[in-house]
Amino acid sequence: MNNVVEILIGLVPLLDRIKTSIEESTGTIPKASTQLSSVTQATEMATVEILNTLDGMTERIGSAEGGLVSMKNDLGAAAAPVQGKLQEIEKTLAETRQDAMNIAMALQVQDITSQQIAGVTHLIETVRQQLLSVLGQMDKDLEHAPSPGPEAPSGHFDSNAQFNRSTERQDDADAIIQQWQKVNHE
Amino acid sequence: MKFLVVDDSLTMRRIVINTLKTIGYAEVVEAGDGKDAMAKLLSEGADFLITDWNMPEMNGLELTKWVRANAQYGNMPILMVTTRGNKEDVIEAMKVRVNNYIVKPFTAQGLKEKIDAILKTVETKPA
Repeated sequence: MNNVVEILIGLVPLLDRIKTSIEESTGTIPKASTQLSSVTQATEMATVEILNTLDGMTERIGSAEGGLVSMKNDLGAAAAPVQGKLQEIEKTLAETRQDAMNIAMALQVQDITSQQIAGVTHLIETVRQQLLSVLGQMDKDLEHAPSPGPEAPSGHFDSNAQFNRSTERQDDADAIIQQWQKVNHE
Repeated sequence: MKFLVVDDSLTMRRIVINTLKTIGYAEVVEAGDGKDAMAKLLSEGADFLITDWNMPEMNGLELTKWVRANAQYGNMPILMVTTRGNKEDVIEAMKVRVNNYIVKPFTAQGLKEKIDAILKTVETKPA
């Protein structure tokens, strides 16, 4: 009997430590969520800046291409000696335009990672809610416990989003659509 | 042809709109979610809808259902552009009658091919 009492007496400080630890954790999670959210905002801002720069580049490439065409027209037969050089410039401009396009398309990674981050934020908010529930059971006086806060939205993102250049997922989707259209005679 | 591009990501809207311009479609209206899209469609109109799936307020599936039930825009071509690539997701989208489906990340060529394919189907479909 004495042993049981000793164990129970020993459990009290342990439970206190667990409670303190849970309180600290639940208090830290909102800060983590805010930081993750600011990461998403910052990357979106930076991505838009890059897209603006690419737009400017593409516009200038267009002007250069237009200028080249005008110059060739103006020179007429006199352009013959530099024809090779002009074609090289045209090719370089076309390649640069394509590079700008490729960079823009690669920036889809920002949307995809922001969805992954939203998934993580949702997950840690769920953990926080569960910890608060445990805390509520441990301590009925919740005056000092952190407030539950708003429930994290779950339908605005795809936590399984992936930046995958393979065409496999699109090919699978196409096969399903084809099958669907066949069955439904569309 | 006027496009309505719906995505809660500003980055994705910019990329889709830039791609549309590159492939020859300059007239574009944009919206940040399904509700915004409904308002834009009613106020500004559009001929072709490109929508994301996961969005706040109203998602792409709900928007598609609303468009299909609308007397004026019920037959509008709809292309869903989303990160969701599971079989169940694609079937769910087909059930609400999207015309086609692109899994992100997409390429400019991929987007063009899907738009062309949808327009071809719409044109050849008897009235």
